[in-house]
Amino acid sequence: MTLSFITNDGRDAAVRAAVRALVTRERGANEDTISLPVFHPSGASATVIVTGGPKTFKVSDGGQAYREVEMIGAESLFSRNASKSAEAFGIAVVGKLIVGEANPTSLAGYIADVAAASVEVSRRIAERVGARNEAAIEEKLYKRLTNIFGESRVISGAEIAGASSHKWHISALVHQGGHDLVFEAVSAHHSSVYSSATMFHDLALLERKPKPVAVVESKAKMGAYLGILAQAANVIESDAPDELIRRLAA
Amino acid sequence: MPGPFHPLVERSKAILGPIVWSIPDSSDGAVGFLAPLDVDGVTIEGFFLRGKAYEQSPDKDVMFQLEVAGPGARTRTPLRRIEWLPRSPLHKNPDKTMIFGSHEHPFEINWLEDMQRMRSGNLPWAEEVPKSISSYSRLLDFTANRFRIGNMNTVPVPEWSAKLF
Repeated sequence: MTLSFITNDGRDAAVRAAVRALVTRERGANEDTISLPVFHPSGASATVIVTGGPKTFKVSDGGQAYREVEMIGAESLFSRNASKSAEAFGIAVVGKLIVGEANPTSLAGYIADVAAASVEVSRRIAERVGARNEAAIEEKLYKRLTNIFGESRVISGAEIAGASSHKWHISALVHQGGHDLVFEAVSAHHSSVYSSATMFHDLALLERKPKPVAVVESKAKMGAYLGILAQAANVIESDAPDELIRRLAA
Repeated sequence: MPGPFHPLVERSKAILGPIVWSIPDSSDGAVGFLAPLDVDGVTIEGFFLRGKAYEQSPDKDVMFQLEVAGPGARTRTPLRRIEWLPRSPLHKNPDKTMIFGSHEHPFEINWLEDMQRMRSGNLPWAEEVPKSISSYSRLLDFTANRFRIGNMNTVPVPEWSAKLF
């Protein structure tokens, strides 16, 4: 009985401590700094600053999203992305700040939305910067393909229409032996995987369908994404042997 | 196999010239600097120490970061970062463990040896900074040691103001 009591008490304490850690408030003379359980790409919790009141409050992210993207040198992407997110959340961007003006009834909602918008901005920009990994794979891939098939048979950054009539931008198109091969660089990120898989499925419905090849940096690092890609395309690593690429084209 | 950033992180470094914190930004009160770094007498292209603090936050919320940019690169790669008494009190690591307060994002655990690149995101792994780092001067000593910057003590105190932002 005693043991059971202690165990339950310990469990309760652990859960209470975890919940307390998720939302914190630091009270200043004229402002409150509130930390919420949504996280920027650096791992920092979203923090909003509340000033003013008691009738009208200003809720701001204190420039946290800007600071996050500045750390990775992507400040130039802030303004456009922040405006887009702020508009979606019904708030605003003022300089480096994501802000909202609340009354007591809407204060909680603004705190939540300013934090969410701030994190959305920094995550979206970090993803875009990460997508440049695809550009690196593409560049390496183009050199490999031109060495194997010759420059005249490889089109870098080609556009190809799928069965839906949507025009897809692909990493490289190879004309070989009377048929086409579509090579697409894919990074280990959900947006890259899903958009590539959708494209491959759309191309597969064409009457004269090209042979689909997804090129990844490392199959091991793709995890479950590999299964999604493999449903729609052959998957090779960017340093696959020339012979393997020739066999795909045969 | 050591990657391209290892020598930059591991070698002794020196800040070039005097550091001056910027004028506070009218939007968020941020002050900062970007200082080129010397390694063995050579100023390495695109290799910097970045500092950031906030005018309205005296004796807290200071960030120092070692970063590198490739020739013509539009973005930077953070290599190591220390966040001292940050405004955002909570850091979450990829394994869901949390750190409260000051922390360091070390290079080593954010480097992917097999892929020869930094982890995606923005140095997502961090470790706690000892509680004994309780003043700005101690922060400079700690940073000097962790970043291997011999003259880190030449970084002046930011022009903090008691003004509430």
